[in-house]
Amino acid sequence: MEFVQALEKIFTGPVIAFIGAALAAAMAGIGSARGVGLVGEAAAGVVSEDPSKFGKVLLLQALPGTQGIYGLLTWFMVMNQGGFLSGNASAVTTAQGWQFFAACLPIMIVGYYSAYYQGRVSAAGGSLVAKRPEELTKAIVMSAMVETYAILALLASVLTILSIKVG
Amino acid sequence: MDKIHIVGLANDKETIMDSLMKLGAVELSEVTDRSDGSMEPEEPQESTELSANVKYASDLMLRMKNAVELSDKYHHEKKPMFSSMRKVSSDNFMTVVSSIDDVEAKADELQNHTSEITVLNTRIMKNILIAEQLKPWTDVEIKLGDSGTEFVDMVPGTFESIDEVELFRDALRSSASESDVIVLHDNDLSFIRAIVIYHRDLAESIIPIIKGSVFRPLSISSRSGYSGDIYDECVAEIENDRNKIRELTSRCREIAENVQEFEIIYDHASVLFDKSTSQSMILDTDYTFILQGWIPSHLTESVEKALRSEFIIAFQSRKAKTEDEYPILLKNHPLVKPYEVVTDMFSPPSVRDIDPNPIMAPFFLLFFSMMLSDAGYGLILAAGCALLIWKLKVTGSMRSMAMFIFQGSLAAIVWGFLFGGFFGDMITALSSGRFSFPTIWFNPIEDPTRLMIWSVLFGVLHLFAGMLTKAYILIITGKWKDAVFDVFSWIIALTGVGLLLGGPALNLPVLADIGKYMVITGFGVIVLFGGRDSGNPVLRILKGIIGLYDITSYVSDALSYTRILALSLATAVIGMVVNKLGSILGFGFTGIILFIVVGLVGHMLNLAISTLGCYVHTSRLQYVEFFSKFYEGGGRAWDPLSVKMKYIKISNN
Repeated sequence: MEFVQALEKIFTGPVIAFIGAALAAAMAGIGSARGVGLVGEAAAGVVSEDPSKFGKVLLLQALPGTQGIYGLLTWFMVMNQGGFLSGNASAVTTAQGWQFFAACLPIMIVGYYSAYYQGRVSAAGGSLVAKRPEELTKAIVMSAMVETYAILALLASVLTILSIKVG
Repeated sequence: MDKIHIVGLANDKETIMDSLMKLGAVELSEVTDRSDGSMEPEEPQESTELSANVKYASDLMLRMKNAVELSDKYHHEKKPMFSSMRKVSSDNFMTVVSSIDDVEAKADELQNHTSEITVLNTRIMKNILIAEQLKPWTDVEIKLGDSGTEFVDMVPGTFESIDEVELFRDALRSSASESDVIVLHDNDLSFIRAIVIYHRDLAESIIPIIKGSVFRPLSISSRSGYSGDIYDECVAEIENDRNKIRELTSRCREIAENVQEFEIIYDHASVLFDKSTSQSMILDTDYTFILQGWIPSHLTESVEKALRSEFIIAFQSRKAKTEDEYPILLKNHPLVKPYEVVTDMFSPPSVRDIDPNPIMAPFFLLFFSMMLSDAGYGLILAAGCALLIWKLKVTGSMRSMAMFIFQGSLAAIVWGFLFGGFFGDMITALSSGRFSFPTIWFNPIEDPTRLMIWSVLFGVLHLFAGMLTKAYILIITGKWKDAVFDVFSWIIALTGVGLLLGGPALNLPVLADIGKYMVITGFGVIVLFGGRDSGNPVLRILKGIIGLYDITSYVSDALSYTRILALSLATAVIGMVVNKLGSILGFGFTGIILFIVVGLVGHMLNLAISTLGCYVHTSRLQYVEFFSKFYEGGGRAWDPLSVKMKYIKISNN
């Protein structure tokens, strides 16, 4: 019985919401870091052949970075909706904490994977640009196709967060 | 587009080509049309001369390009990020072109000097290595390459420590007694100098021992002589080479001042190249030539007049036919024109397509601005684009992009007012909630569902515009059945679905009733006529039912537009995060400083990322959702013979 009480003390509503929000920012951020890093390696190769393509490959490298931003955005939405920024945090019940946690799941998971795969597509786009610099837009659009699912996940997360009414 | 044939006198050929180039209105194509058989031209005698011209021009271009690049290297002129073309007066241009040999010589000199510098640099590197190796040996009079006496061979070299020497000496002695290691005792070196001596007859057994040991022999294969002398030689050579490099570099800098001349000759060569390559498309006879080309219909008459007034020619034109696969020149309103680059990046329209730009442009503007939807960001972006267009005068596709982003950012200001976005919620943050930016319509953060519905609604309009265009293409090509059964049926059914869903939400059950009948009608047509090319009635109905499955693609297309909501939220919320971070310290003196710094960096970053995102995702909506409804692409843009310059712009005064 004491164990359960201890658990209840540790896992209060705000804590669970924080874990969700933190994981959303962290996982999407890790994914973006991997993706951007992946493209960066390929981009450095392209630039070593032709430094004038720096601007183009930099654009490609920026693409998988958005998931990290979506993660941060989700984190902010949780903080805002939960009243953590306005000092209203104690009103979050344990159930609502879990709701926030669940709401963070889509961007947490999809953000990570889509950033990684978008990075791979962008890196391939880098070699496309190396051979045919005029086809940059096509490389960008192909890469953006992967991002679609991060956007959908972000929507799912944000709309769920906004449906939780605290207080 | 008109197809033209011009027959002229061989003597006039050069001048006619020049005038065509100046007019810039004709794209030449290879003369292949000899259907009447009346014209059997001889093999073009000039072909070798022609290819020589092409070769000369391309070679000159390459050399000048190298010279320009090298000049940039020597002559660190600060180049603006968006450089505009250098203006050159036509007189100046002619003088430079007339002294072409001179310029060529300079370019060659620059090239030669540069390669010489590279050679010298490698030699310096080599000499430095040798000198470094020899430096500890300068005080020892030892002859390298050929040392020792008649019976004794000497190998100078180094050990790491004295223990190594002992070990090595033992190893040496055990296999060959007539050998020794002489250690030169000096303490200020981090290694130990030693000389291995042995009887020449023992070389066979000694050399493998030396090779397999820690002893590192001093070996300079390229030179022989006393170590001190070689060292001095190397040092002198290094000094000498360095001086030479200095001389050459300063000479190169001098030459690099002439970068403008190289650029002029490059452009001159590129014009020459265009002219020579296009000549290969012309058929020659002994006294005449014939050329064939494409010309936009509205220019045909004026070009004919211009040519006839100067030359004796036969000029014939006819309207291009669809099977001609003629090149495309789009004619659009100046406001729509910039959007052509968006379509061209997908693929320029083919002969069978209709120009998608006028339909696409308003939607592009709408979606781009909705995604950005911030008055502050819109203002900055508009100012940036205006700077690019009117101050820096960028050209080509850069100008087009700046142009449509300019339009989009102006519209984004409007959306900023509608949604209450001004650098996120900067006004609210600065006034600690006392004031906020006017929200004319609604705030997407407070009511995201509403914006989602509107996004999908606008998206469905976009899809319908694409489908109606498809219907239009089908009707003008006489396939009205396809238009009715495959396109209108879906438009009716999808509108019905929309009413069915929207009616109850708007408390208008009548709409839902109408919607129900529209869905039934639409689906009925699809089931009955979707498989109309199949003769078997059962199969036909089955095919029709399977056709209903397309609903999934329409639904996923429509839902794809929810990205408008997501990106608009992203822009707004990141802006809010920046404001929040900036106001952590309140609004005292340090607080304001922090707000300004964080605001500048954060909002600029957000603006850059959001603009990229808005552009990319708006493009995607056009390419994937919209173009897939009716657009094929695969055409070729009209590329007339004209004076194309890369670096300079010739002004006549």
